[in-house]
Amino acid sequence: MIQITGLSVVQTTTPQHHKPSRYTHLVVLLPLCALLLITTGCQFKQSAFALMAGNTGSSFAAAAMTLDYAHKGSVTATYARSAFQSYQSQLQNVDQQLSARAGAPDNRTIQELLKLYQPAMQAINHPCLEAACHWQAQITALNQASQAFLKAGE
Amino acid sequence: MKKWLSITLGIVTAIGGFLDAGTIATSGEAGAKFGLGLIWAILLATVMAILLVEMVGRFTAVSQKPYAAAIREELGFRFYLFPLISEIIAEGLLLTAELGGMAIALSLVTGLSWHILFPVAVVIVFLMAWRAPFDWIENGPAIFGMLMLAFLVGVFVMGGPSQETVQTLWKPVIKPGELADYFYLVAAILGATISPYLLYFYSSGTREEGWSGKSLLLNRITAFAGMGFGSLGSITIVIMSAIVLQPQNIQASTLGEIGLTLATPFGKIGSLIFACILFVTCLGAALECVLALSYNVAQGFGWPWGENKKPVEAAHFNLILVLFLVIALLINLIGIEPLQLALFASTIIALFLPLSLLPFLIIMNNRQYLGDKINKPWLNILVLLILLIAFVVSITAIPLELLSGGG
Repeated sequence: MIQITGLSVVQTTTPQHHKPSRYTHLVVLLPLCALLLITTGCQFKQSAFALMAGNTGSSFAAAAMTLDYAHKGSVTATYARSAFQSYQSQLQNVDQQLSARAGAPDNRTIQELLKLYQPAMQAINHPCLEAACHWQAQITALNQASQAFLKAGE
Repeated sequence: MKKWLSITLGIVTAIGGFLDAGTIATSGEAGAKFGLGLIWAILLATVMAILLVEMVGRFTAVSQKPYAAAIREELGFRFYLFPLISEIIAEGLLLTAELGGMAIALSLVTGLSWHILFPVAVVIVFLMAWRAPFDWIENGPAIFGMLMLAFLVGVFVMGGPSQETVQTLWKPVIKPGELADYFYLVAAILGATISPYLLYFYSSGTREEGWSGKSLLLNRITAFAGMGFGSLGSITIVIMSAIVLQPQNIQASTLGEIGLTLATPFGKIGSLIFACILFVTCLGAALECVLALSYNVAQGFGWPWGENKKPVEAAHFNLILVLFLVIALLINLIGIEPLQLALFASTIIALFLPLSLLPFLIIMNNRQYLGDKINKPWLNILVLLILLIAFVVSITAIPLELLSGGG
């Protein structure tokens, strides 16, 4: 039976007599290997640009779905309004940060993305939650921006 | 019979400690990004949580001492300060995230900004923690937390996951560059599930409930039923996200997005049920978090404590409770989104996890406390394994968060 008490741990681990076992080495080496793998793997992580583009595309897709659901009656207008507030804070200032991100493509590609970003952001800032306004056009703008950003993030 | 109704302690511990803003966030994101490919991490976390909850419940029931007090008594006040300080940092952040989750739930129903509703959430938690007896804190979230089963019903209504999605269970699809994200979510799932406050709360709860050495079977069933319920809720969120959000390329980076998974099968009612689930789980977690913090400090310093005592009889305990709510209010002023804060708090919890779990090895083998109810050798081996996992998660959590961009 393993009997470990605070006292016995203190008594058996004095610096003079302590000889690390192979298990001790294993306990130290395994996490270090994991850390090394994490910090060196090229395919391990996405570039900062790909990460931002992917997140932006995902948020535009979520906004399109929320707007669609609001008009189909699957979510209440208050739910959609609250969800759009979150999308707004997620997507704020993406246009200012995109080109500065590591791994960003050429300026032309960035400009193409920003062209789609502007109308989509208009929909995010002022979503048509009433039946009277052109909500279908907003969904189209959101979907177009979503697809372009997701593609750029691949 | 009344004793058996105490299983609600396990359910509420699960609803507050297992299911919270962090778990909803990590489960939603896991399903949306990797299909069913991270369910193994939830199952692993469940087994770990069941073992730890059973042990901490057994310890308190037999020794009549809460876990925090035993750490101080057995390992000394200096050692005790390490888990205490780590708890204060990690749970302080998590408390703010849970209050934010409640505010977002209120926002989804009212359409008002969650920033405005944050103080409302603080007042609700304060009133419940200040005046409500322990029974209310247990039973309220436990009963309403059953709404969580809506995710399970949703899976059946949607016809279950497709064949392609089912395959991700054993063969997760990880695109190039997403490996860091995958491992970060593993760490976040473990951190969100095995929160030490869950153990401090459950340990103190067994004292509040008056459990004794005769309650060990009840404790075992409670640990299995409670954590099992929490696990079921978490897994069904993963499945619903995989069914509804993944095909739409939605990554579930806001709580409102995860609500769309219930709106798809149930319409408006589904979105309202999600808001209720979010509110109840975050309320349970916020109560559990603030009480665990107060229990931890009061027990560590040897002050009177207890929800069943009047505030004047446990003045320090109640003062700490108020203090942490005020701190949460101040942290909220920084303006970090609750979901991001919940993920960050899960990472910090993962970082400090070994500090709170290490004493298990010592106190669970002390016959002075436990008599013949000490850990069996195989349980000690499992605790060592848990500690090893906690250690690996601890040192990799922060680098993974930085590499993955925080999920």
